[in-house]
Amino acid sequence: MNTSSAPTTLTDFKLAIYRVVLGAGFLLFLSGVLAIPSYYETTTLWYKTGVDKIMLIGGHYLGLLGFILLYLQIIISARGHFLDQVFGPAKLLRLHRLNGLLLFLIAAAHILLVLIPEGLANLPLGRKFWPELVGAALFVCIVLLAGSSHFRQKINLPYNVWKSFHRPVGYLALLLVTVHVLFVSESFEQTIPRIFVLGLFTLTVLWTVSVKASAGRKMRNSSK
Amino acid sequence: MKIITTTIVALLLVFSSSIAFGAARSWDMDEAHSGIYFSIDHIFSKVMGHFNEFTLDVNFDPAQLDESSFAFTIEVGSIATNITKRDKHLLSADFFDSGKFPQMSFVSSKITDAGNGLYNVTGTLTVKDKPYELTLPLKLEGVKEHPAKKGTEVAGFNGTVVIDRLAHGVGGGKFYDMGIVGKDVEIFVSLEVLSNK
Repeated sequence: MNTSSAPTTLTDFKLAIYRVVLGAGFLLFLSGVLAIPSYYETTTLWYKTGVDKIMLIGGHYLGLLGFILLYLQIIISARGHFLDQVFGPAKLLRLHRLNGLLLFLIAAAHILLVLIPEGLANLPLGRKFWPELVGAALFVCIVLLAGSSHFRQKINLPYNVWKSFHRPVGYLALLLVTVHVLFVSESFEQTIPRIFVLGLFTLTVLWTVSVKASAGRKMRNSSK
Repeated sequence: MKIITTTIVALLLVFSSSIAFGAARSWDMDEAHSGIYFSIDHIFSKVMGHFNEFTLDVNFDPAQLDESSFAFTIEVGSIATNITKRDKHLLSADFFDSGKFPQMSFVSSKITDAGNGLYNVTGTLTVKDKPYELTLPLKLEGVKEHPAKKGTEVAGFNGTVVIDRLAHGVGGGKFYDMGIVGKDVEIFVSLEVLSNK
């Protein structure tokens, strides 16, 4: 993320309002998304009892939280004029880094909580468990993204090398998380949750493309 | 000349001993037309499933039952009930615990003729590494030249047996006590085996 040029055209009062509205809107959106598994219950939970059931429910909610945070991560990294004005590039960068670490922790906890109730010896391997394997590939992407960013200087990874894969792997992670959620969970086999996920994916892609196109236009104009 | 004579005598001895003490006719499983299927109660309905991967060694001759044998090896991970989530649950520690016990087997030790083409195949069923005695009644449906493959004979067997899954360590009884999953599993074995004429 480029942290130069913090636009300051909005007044402090307006900025505060925008931040509160965006924060509240995100929390409202998040609680709506987290309500999906309880409204569209998966039958897998019917056959779990006690601690196993609690772990599986926790795993489902953490997975969904990670799904939303990954989308947030893509939106933050694309930035755009509006987000830059409201939060400033430096804050967005801090949020991006913090969110990346949080995503790694949530993804790791999600994996453990959904696998332990089935027994760690019985990993879902094989062609018919492909949505779970997509999740495994997603976790590899998240580890790569978070690990290479957090330890970039310690492992002497050149910035250009890091940058060359960070963004493509991030977009790949967005695609993988979408496929994983759509096909791994019974809750998202229902029409409305499915439309929600596909709609969110489409909007995020459109947002990212439009922000990137706008940034490209600005760069071309400034170089003329 | 002496060497030739000795060789011929040795070959004749080997040949004659294989006739006298040889195993029954060996058959190869026709994988596309053989299956191990099961059915179990779920509250009111019956859930059907099968094992996609298993191997079978058959030596069978109705006239040589003492030399006949069946040996099945079943890959537990190949269980299929048409719902992936249910398959995953069946593979978990709640039922088969396939990570620890990836295979089941049934190896016959005795085959008896029960009449009317029915053969009682008694042997050892191994589930989760524990042996249980089981008699699988198999009906020999017939032996004839394969209609689609000249020079090859096909034999068919069908058999059904009911086993108590709880007595065989498949599940601890939690779902049975809850009235969800039954304990009696009906197993249906259908085989076509091939042998050169």
